[in-house]
Amino acid sequence: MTKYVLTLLLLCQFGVAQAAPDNRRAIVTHYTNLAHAVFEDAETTAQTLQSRVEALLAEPSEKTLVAARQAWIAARIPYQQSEAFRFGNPVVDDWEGQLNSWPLDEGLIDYVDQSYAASLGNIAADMNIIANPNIALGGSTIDATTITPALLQDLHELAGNAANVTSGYHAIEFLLWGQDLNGHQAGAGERPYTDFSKGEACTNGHCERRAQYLLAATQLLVSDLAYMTRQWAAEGDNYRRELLALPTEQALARIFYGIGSLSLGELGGERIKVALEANSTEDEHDCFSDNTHWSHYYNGLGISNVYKGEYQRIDGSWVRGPSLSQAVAASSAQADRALTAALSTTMARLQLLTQVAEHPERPQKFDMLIAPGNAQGRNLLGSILQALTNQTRAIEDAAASLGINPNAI
Amino acid sequence: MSTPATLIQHCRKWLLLPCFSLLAACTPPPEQQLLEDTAQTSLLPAHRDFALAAKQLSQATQAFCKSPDDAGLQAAREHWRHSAVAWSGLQVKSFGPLMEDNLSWQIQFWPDRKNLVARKLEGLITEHADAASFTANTIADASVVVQGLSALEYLLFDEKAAQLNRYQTTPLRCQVLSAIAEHQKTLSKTLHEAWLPDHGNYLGTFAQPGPKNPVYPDRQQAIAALLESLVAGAELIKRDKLERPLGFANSRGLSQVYLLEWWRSRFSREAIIGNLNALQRLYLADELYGIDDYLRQHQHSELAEQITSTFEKTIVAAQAVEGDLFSAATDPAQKPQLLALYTEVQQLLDLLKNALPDALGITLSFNGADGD
Repeated sequence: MTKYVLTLLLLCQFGVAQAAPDNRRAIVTHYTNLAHAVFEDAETTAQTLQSRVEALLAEPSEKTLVAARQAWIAARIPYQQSEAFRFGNPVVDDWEGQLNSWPLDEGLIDYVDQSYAASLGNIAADMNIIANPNIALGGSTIDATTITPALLQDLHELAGNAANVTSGYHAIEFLLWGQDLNGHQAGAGERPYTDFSKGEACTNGHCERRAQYLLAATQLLVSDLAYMTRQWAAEGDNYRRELLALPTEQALARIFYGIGSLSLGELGGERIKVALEANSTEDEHDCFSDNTHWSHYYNGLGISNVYKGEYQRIDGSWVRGPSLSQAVAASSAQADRALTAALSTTMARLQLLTQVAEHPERPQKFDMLIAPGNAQGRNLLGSILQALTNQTRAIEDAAASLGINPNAI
Repeated sequence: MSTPATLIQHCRKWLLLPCFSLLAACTPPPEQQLLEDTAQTSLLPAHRDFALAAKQLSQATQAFCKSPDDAGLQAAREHWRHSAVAWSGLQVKSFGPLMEDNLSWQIQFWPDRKNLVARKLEGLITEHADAASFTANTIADASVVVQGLSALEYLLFDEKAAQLNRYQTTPLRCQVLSAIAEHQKTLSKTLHEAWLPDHGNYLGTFAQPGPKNPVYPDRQQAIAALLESLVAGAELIKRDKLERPLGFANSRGLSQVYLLEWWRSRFSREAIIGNLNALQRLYLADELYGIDDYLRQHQHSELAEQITSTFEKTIVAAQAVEGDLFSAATDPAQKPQLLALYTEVQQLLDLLKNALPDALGITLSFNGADGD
């Protein structure tokens, strides 16, 4: 039996290699360049976030708080695009939890409203690290006198619960915005800048520890991103080298697997469908800041980038090179046309989502669009889900046209 | 599974021609027979059983609500369990009408990390405190969270919500209970009819691939749907029903029992056994011509046997876990049994996901569970 299968596989590979003498190695190499550019931009924008956070903490004011929030939103732009590199590459997938875990039980971090509902059975759901220098948990005491990046790493996913998120974009988002208590109504989190004020001006207590937490979480984000940038650098014994050493077919499978998984299961399923079907604001991705529409948009763009072999950097310059699109077009013009069209449709609908959310007079953010009975929201999000589903099928067809099995990662 | 005799009988049934050789003279083509037989033995019965169970559950809740007493509550719980077993047979058939309009989510909302079931149901009950505003459409128009078996489980088994005196003092709670059961009855009937030839005829769509069939332009694609369903089912058991709730996935090995399916009714283990039985049936097509026979006919007898025996071992391992998973998860004495089950499921998944598609030359599609 094994022999029979092997023969078949050999025949298939031979057939495909003959039919399409494309530049597959160059595509994989360029893919690592794209990843490097995206993660480097994510690191750079996180550094800007850190300097704005430092400015906020040095001189808390409405102005410095808004500036820090803007830096957070800007930092999401490259990071969300980087997620197209996540699922296919273990180095990213095993690491991303400490940067982008959600939804979180924010009572672990700071004070919360009495309407707060944590995940069932989470013993740390109300631990409030900021208010408690010494934390008693299950018979032992955790020394949290000084809040450092290392402490946040230790406490991440405390008690094995994925909702115990101590670090990453969403922990920082919570500290910059606070809880969004508006449900399906207009409005995001409204944390006052005085939550970081010194002395008498401090609101909600423990301002010094809150400041310490925000700074530690931001520093950890920067160092985590720096680590990932190095993994994709042209020099060094890193993941890029590992990927380039794989058989080309397997590296291509990882590329396809990454964009297919983000497209259907993650963006479509976890990030849109769950929230929409359950009318659940707690399953909104950027729930404190109401930035979800942009996060979704840049996830979509990340998928399109990988297929087209291009990325527009935060300085406006373009990275372009050998693409999957070219290789697919050489094997099957039809498959390439179909996927290119599907990607455009998705991006057009995601763009519509951002326009609805940013409407100058009547903005409808994601948490309003998923309200029960919001037919417009349901139609819009439903049309995005449909586009993502179609796009994923087109990704499968594109992979098949190159003789690549996306599951063989 | 089929013996040569049943196979011959089958050929006769088809063309009334004698079979001279299993490979050559037997028409219809084996792929066609595989689709027909799988539909008859596995797909249609699963939809029929769920519709029947949901109908009986609806009757039981109505009877209970006429005059709520303990016997009525116990009867409703028993019918809920029957429905959950029937659902476990459908849950692992992830294609066709079930996947349209998010029907599967209307049947079950899980995992429910933030206890939305309790919060949304209690919110709905408070909102309609003047019972007149609660109408037949209230449930149909509400969030999927309050529409399905998950909501019924909360109302029938939750420590606080399911107390008999609450039904006796607040008739609206019973009205909500029986309205949700009614919604399931209607939904499951529609779902069943979607397969029937004189209604939606998805049976025809599935079992008659061809160039004019928009869903399955060729038989290979319909067979791929079967394989994807087997893989998705085994993955569901491995990742969502064992790995995450039992803490096999996190580095600290700590269980998260509220991620268990049906933790309120302590029915997680039975649902896994129900899934495994259904997957096994999907693979064997009982005594008729199943994937196992198709593998044998294509010189993969060894793999056919391997999968058959792994199914048997996995079911035995699931039965060997004592009591319910909610208690077993935190009982060190049960750890070896849980790990043994997990290992068997991993082996089963490996065979279904890698060896089986390879042997049949089929590439699996992305599915909705590929994210995190």
